Amino acid sequence: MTLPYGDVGLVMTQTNTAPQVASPAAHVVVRSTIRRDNNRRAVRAALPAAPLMIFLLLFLVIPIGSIIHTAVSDREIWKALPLTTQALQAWDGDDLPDAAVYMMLGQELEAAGHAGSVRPLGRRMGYELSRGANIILNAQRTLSEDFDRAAPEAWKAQLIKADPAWGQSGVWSIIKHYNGRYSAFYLRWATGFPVKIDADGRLSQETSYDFQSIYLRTILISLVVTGLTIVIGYPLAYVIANSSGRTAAVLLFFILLPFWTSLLVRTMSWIVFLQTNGVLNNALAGTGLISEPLSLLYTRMATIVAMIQIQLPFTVLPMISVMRAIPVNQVKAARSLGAGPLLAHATIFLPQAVPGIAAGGLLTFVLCLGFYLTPALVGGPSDQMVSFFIARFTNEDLNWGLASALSTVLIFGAGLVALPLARHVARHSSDRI
Amino acid sequence: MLRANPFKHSCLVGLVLSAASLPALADGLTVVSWGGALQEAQTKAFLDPYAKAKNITVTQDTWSGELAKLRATVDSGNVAWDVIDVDPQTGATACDQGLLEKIGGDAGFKAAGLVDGALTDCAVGTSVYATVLAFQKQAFPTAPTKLADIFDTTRFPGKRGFRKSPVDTLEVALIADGVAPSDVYKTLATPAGVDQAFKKLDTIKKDIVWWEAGAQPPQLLKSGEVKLTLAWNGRIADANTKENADLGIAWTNQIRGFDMWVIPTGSKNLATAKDFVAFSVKPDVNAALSNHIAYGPTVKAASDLVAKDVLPNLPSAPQNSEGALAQDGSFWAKNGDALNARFSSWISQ
Repeated sequence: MTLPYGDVGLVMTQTNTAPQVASPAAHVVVRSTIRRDNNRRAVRAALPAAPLMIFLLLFLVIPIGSIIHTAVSDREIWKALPLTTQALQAWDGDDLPDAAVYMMLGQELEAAGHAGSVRPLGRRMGYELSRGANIILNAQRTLSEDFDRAAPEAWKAQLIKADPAWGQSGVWSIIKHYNGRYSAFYLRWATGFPVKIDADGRLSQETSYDFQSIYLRTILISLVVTGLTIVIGYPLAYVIANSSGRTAAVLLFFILLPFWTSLLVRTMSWIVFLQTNGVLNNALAGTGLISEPLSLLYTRMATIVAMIQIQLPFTVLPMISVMRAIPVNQVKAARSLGAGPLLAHATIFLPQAVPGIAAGGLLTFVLCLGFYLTPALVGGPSDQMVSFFIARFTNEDLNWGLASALSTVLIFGAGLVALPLARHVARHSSDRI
Repeated sequence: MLRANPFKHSCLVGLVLSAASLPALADGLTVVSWGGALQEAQTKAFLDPYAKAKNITVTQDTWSGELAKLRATVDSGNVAWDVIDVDPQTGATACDQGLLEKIGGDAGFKAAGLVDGALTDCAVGTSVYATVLAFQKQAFPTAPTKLADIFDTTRFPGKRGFRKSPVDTLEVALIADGVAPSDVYKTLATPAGVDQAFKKLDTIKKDIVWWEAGAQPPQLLKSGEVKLTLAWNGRIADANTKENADLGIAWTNQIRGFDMWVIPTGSKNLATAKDFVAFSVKPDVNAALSNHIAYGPTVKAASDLVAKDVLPNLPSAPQNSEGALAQDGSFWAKNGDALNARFSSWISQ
């Protein structure tokens, strides 16, 4: 059966008028031909987008996938002590494991020593157990001494001699828990759950990073910056949208100016401006307003001010484009019907500008969540946002699991806020722009 | 290999490419120190003379004692550094973790005649430095005299600088809280002592500006960002002589340390590296460092060779030594991980 190229209507007519001819097999042929045609057309239509798709795959999907993978990968314990973790599955967790398990662990530790996987194991234990690295390294060191290697009891004694922690349940319960390649350990850590225990198995009282308050701080700073850029940007966008020709061009030029300057340069200039003997302090002292220079640098205020300057164009530009599409006549009509200028603006203009405000605000908020450089340079230690800690754990502590988990939480957090809002903005602005 | 992510791969590719474009470095030596005045002095006193004597290329790099970096290179088996300058606590910690060659037992170093504490399992001390209190001379009517004065915000108001590390910071906090220098490490070994130190730090936390590189404190003082700061004495003396800064030093309760050479496990030029370390502790070479930075020699026989006019600036000068405390490397090797973790989380709050 030959069909005109993809003509569905004709197919329907044919099958309807000659039902006795069209066998079920012919139906299938027709349907699959149509499908093949549609697929071919979809492929051809998608072809121009292929470079973008490949780019996104290589530089967005795969990296994010590998970050998530690193966040849930947790194989050091299982890799160094595979038999011990397996043997411990039968352990009830109340008393100490059998002496045979001690012997197995000791032998695996020695093998791990030759394979070079003891230090990664020690570091991993240290994340979850107070003095964890020392407990592992002490054990390995003491096992190289002379003792009766045939007797399990001797292995047990040797390990407990190496570190009393081996005579307590904490370390064993951790080893038992990790009998696979993946765990939610880093994600639990990154979302602020207490993860560290002492050798006796109880939660450690050691102070550790308070990630919940660090996320809260990140969100708070981003919200403040977003709010202030809207407050500052709204009148500006209004003026630009409603002025014509040269004025609008000049104002727009000033908005765009920061875009042409490197982020680093802009941030460094804030340091010059705000430091103790900097431009602002000297100016204030010159006018006699202050006698002692103010401490402006390395503060929350400095961070927020510098971020506002960087983010202002991102907030203002979407607002301008939406405001330009609002018909001027509607406000004029409201005025002619007796509304005052403020009332006309608030009831006619502002509601129509909301999609622009939301789009600009959303863009700024999401970008702010990931700020790293600016807080690091002009903020104090207590003004650092999540990205700072991601960088710290990546480059300095080399705790890639935790860094990836923090990134994963940040990505999903930002997505959770951004996606519904973005859909809302799209829905409400589609009929207007 | 599943874990090796694309980022790692691209780094590897980059490394391979850059390695291919460089001449073979097999006969060279890569020496890493703390940058700034110290590294310049080491270059003049140790590196240049050695390179000239042996006709080899000495490449330099800088770091600020980030153990994780060292750990990463040693774990990867691709060790690019041959000789590294450490302070006692970094040296002891790295040694404990098996990151360093145990060169301290070599007969040559034992016979070099080093002062007490300058030779450990993995590290060979080459100079004596001190953590001191440095201040702007015009800032206060009466100058501070001891390290603990950094906690006195009534007599010395304004921002103060500390190194962004628990090392030295916790020691000074305890001394300022009335602990005798000889009891500092005993106190710090107890949980109550650690709490005490952090409680003391809480009292001035909002006034602290944290620095990371040794070259920063003189800069912070000169720009007026801080009025007083903990600093390494040689950096302050260097700023005074070379940059005409007018900075004072309070010496009492100085925390004394050694700049020590260590060799990372797996160094590709082990023999040359050892030879270079041995060169640095020849008495005449060792004494020459004091001409370039106000750090004292570690070789006993070198102390007579130090120029007379620099002696009063050295940490070992009798008038500077009151209540001095020696940084205890082994204490930090044992407790450093826990204290570092607590410090990092405390500072971020």
